[in-house]
Amino acid sequence: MSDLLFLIPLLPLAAFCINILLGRSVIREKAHWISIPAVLGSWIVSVLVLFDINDTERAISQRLFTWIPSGDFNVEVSLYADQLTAIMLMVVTTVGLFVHVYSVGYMHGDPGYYRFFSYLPLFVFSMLMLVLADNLLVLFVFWEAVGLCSYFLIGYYFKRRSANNAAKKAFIVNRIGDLGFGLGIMLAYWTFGTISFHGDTGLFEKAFNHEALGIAGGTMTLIGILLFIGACGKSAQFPLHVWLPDAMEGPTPVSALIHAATMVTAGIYMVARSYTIFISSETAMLFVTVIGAFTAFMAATIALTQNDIKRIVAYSTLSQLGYMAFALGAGAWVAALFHLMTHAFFKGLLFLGCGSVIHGMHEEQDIQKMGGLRKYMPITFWTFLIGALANAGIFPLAGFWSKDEIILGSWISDSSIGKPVAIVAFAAAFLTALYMFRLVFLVFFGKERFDTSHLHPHESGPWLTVPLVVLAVASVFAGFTGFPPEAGWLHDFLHHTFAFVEVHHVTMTQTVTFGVISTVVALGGIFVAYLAYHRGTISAEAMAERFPRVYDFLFRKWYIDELYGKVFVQPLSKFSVFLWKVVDVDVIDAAVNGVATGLSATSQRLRQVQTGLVANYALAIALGMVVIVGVYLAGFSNLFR
Amino acid sequence: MNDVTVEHFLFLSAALFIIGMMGVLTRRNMLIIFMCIELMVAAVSVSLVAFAWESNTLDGQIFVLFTLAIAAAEAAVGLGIILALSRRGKSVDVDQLHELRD
Repeated sequence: MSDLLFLIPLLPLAAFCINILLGRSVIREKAHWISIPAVLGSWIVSVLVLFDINDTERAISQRLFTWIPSGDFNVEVSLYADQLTAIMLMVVTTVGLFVHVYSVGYMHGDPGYYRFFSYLPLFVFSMLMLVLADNLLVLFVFWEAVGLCSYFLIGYYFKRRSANNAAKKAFIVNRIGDLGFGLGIMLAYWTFGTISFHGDTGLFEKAFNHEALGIAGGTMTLIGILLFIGACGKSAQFPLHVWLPDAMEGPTPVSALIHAATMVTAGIYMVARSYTIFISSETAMLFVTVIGAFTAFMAATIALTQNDIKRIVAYSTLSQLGYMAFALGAGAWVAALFHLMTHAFFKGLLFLGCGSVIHGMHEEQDIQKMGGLRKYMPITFWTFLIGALANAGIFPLAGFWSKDEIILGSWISDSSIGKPVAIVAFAAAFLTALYMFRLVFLVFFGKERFDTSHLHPHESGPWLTVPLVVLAVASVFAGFTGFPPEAGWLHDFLHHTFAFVEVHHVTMTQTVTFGVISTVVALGGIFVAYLAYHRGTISAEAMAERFPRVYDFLFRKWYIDELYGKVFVQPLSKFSVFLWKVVDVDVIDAAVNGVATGLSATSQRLRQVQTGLVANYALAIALGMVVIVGVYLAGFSNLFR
Repeated sequence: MNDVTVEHFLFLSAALFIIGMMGVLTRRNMLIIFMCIELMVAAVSVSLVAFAWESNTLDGQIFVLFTLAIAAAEAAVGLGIILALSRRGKSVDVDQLHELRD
């Protein structure tokens, strides 16, 4: 099995190479016939890998080549697939495959069709390499590569200024996180003397035995926090979350694949992968928990007031990533990965549903201008409803199992703030149900709030609806991989990866209690949404007018963009203008121009000497000779002494 | 008067050289300037021969033979240039030959 591992990343890479080289001239609108089979091939190999690992219970690896042979510092590029990687491979290739299929319909007729179908497999390749990486450096390289693909695809409509700005914002904010990640890698190498992950000499084993190796606890905390800053950038955790909502400028399939299901979970994956570092430091775990819980709550409150259909789902993604982060912080490793997987399916579904709605509404994204779409696009409605219910955590859909497990895991964890965080998580769960069903009611129910005589919404074609249906089925059943709670197939499977942590055992009573509470909370959220946005018993507008400060605070996204603008962007831009107008123009340019002007003026004077008259030159030669001979006679000869 | 020393030759050489040099500096006609240059070469040859005579060696004499041969070659080239210039511009006045200045 292990000798087939290289096919998983190779196939999408090959598809990228073919499409980017031949797409413009030869393949054009058939580009998907290259990309889809390639991703399908990766999916098949990934399934084989999953079964192989499930049977043998052993990780498989394949060495590719030595990248940097340099004395003690030796970097091998090798692929490594254990249980955690196998789950990630399934998520990436499955969602990737259906997003590819969906894109055939969604991007149909786009002038950059081949370009789209080049970047998408390039992203899949980078993401697969990221999860297959066997050392920190290779992980970092593909960490950057997925960021680059994200940049390409956010700025896919490069003629739109807002898309360019969003792409740059995503790239720059991610660089800030990567600075932390880079420092973390260096500190890890400096501390452990290796960047390889596995084996007795790998850094995870060393991190676990850090006390025996005499490594200070403070160092472990610092490594953990630096690595998590990297994860904050990629997984859009507060305070580096600002790029993700803007990233919705990209085409909707991209939002589904990169900005909901896979790339943004890379940070979660990275923290889970290096869990031995985190369990070695309570402070680092606390840091992760607080950031995650805050993000989960903050994003959920912002989602309540937004009107752009994709932005609401984007804030929902932020919130769910926050759930995963605080699950990691609370030590509920398997629950975090479980939620990562179920979230990939139902959030991918929700984004693809948004795309179908936008497509059917002829590029309208404002939910205040929709309504009553249920009867125009039934397949989109039903699948979106399943996604929304799964996101809200309604029994027995996928989101219910994983979210419940996160909250319970946090409640029973050893973390000192586990219980308060669980309560925040319940509050966020209520808000999740509320904003999801605000969206559902405003988009699919009620009267049409658009001009029905001009705009005729229509159901999308099979290229779009088939992936929706498949992902809806996955959103229903993915939760059962973790059934029964804390003892399902997924738990047994992943405990091989998280071998160093002891399994928390929960009682049946706890499970049922928490299940009932979270269902009641979610149903409460849906009920409030029903009253406010369908029945009209509670008027949302009146609430907004009664609490204008609160409404503005949420509508303006907690003023975080404004704050960053005032504190970082404007001073930086002023400083840049200073560098430009004063340092560059007045100092550097002036110096260069001064030298040139001075030389030119001197030359103008000196050229007067060149008369062109032979007699003058002859005189100069003769006089020169007289001077030289005179000096010689006066100074060096003894003729006149 | 019998004891002719090397200084006498050197004074002759210097006198010839200065006459030639003054000719080069003051004259305008290229042909005259050229002849003056030949005079300067001859002056140098005289001093070389004088030193050879004084030191009783042949090196200086041989040197002069080479100088004469090169002066002949130089005369051929120089006269060729003067001829070409006179055909082209109908003048061999050096003050009028300044096209390369600007």
